[in-house]
Amino acid sequence: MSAEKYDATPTTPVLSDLSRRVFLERLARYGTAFATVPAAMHALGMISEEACAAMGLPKEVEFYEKLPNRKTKCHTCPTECEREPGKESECRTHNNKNGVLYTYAFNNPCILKTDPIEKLPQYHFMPGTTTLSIATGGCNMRCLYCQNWEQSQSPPEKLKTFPFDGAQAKEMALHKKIPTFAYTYTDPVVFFEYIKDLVKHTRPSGIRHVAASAAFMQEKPLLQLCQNLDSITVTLKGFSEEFYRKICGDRPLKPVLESLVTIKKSGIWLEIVNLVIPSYNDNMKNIKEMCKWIVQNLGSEVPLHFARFSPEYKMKNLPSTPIPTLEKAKEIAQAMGIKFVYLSNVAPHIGNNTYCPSCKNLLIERLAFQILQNRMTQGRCPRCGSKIPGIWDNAKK
Amino acid sequence: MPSKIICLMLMFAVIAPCLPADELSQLQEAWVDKIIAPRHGEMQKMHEEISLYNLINGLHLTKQQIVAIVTLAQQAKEMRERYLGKGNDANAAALQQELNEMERLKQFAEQGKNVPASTPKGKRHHLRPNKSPKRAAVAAPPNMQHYQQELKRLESELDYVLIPAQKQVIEDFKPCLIPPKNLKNPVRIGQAKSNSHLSQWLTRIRNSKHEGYSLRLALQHLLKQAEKHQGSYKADERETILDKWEKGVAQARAMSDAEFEISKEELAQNLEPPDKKEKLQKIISNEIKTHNLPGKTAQFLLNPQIIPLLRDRLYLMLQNPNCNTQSERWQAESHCEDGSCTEER
Ligand SMILES: [Zn+2]
Repeated sequence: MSAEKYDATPTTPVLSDLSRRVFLERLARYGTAFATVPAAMHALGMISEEACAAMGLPKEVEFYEKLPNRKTKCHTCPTECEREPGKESECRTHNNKNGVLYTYAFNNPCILKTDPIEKLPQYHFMPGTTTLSIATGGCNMRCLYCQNWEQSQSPPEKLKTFPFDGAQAKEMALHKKIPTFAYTYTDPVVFFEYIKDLVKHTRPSGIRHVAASAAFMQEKPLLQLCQNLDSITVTLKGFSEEFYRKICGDRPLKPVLESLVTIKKSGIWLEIVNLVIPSYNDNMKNIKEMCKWIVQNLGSEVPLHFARFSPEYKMKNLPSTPIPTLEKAKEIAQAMGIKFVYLSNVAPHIGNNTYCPSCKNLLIERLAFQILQNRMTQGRCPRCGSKIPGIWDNAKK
Repeated sequence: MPSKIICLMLMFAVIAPCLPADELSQLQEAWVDKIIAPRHGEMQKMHEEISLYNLINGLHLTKQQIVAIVTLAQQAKEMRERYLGKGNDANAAALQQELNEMERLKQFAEQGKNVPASTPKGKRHHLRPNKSPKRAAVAAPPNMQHYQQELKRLESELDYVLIPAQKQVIEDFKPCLIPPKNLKNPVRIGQAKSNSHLSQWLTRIRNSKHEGYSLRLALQHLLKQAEKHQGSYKADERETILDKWEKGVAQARAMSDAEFEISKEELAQNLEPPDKKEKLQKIISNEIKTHNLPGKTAQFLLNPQIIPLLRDRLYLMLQNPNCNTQSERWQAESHCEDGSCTEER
């Protein structure tokens, strides 16, 4: 399937819609955001590419190769976009400018908001804490059901963005006492350089970093990403090449599975989410195979979330996932040996809760992302003393 | 629409302009008595039914839970009929007593006098919303206390049927025609859109050009809108809220775009005007707890009106094991080519 098919028109205000007068007013008002102003000025055609590049913006992509005739080949994700000068990559954040590949996502988020960490979903990582969610425009996936398509299918310069650099991030985190940053909503693979910079500025202050990603990334940058993260939720969108081809924009499944193994080996905390879509990936035989693969390759302690699908974007004609389907999937996963299986996007449901795999004691009771009670004591079941895998200390590092 | 109603409407439209004022008001009264009043009860019933459906949809009940709730609601219904039957004579006397008391209170109100401190605290129940004097009077007979104890017992049996998260949903539930997003459709994992109304208006007003007097006018307009939902405020309360809002807008405008984006929900929450209805609800639920009276679970799930709704829902779930609602069933069937949608997976 070609990428052109998924051209989404952004409904949020676009930067280029701003008149120069309004822009200058804002420029005067938000002097602190100077770091990204050149990028915005460049987008408005107010300063030249050269002047912008001289100020370090937009940021040069880290993993790419320069080819003859000023062509570039990106090595961030397995799509390996080869682009001529002036052309944008599949992810819409990278652009070949005169033989140099730049990212327009750097310091340029379109989403900045505080969320419960459970929303990623992360159920075994600092439960009940608030995280600062950050996303930029663009995405290297083309999922037909994307719930954030307005952001993921638009390049950063076509969205309303909020200049936010490493120094500001540090100040904000300390001022608002935010313990974690979460890179989510659009795939953090496409703003990898920005994440590294945010981590560099905030990790010394004890801020932890988590991400939600499809893990469609090449090994080298992925290893670097893992070094920068404390935890990750990987969306394993389906368990067949056919599903990834038909629904996710002709992407292969194999690199995702390889990424999962790499992430697990890296030692950061990992949770997996699988969105169950009626008639596309709700075949129980296939779900069983997926669970078997998870147990064999990642172990039985990686939490698995089955999320309920809701009609979105280009899959509005489908029904929501029937709850019995999710319950059946959960049963299968548990029978296959996965110790922590959750149901997401359905609440209230006992599938939101954490139970001790040894004595079945209720450990954390949830209503969607809200924690109703947490009975764990120092990461252990209070009844039988079993150690529950995860990061349970909620204080800063 | 029945032809009688249409005729009356036509008559009213044609004759009204030519009638003298007193005849016109008589005709209006007749209109209210004959057409509006009987339909008012119908509307109230429908409102209650829609509300109950919204609650049922938000609870994600299993078949076993539905069976258990219907059984308990049926018991509650029979018990209610038994008690009300027994208490009818007592009720009539109690109603008269209540009316006398209200007449006395009315006199104080008319004369603008304070109600004497000696007035029993029990009279407070007149303040309960949606409680007609007739229903309030029914609460008076001596066997009512026993009835409430029995209802409370049935409600405590529901504790074994529901999970705590479902009880939390009931506790937070406000009867509604259009369900709030977090009930039927909770904010989904990884979904960006979840801004509250309040933060949306704060964003709009922050970006607007309103300053000084024009800002005050815009905020006054917003407050009027808010009062429609949260109950009206006294003049001094209104001024306090408007002052707080003005400061909030100034604070929002002093922030960078990024800082505002991160802080807007919190800021909006702090600016939320006190919800008078909610405050009253809290007082009532505290009273209920202190006196060990039946609570919200009984109010909704032991309501006789829920019985047919739950029976329909159960029938549907038994017919199609993969669907919880009629719309899910229609959608599933429209995508199914081989009948597999009705098979247990
Ligand atoms: Zn245990």
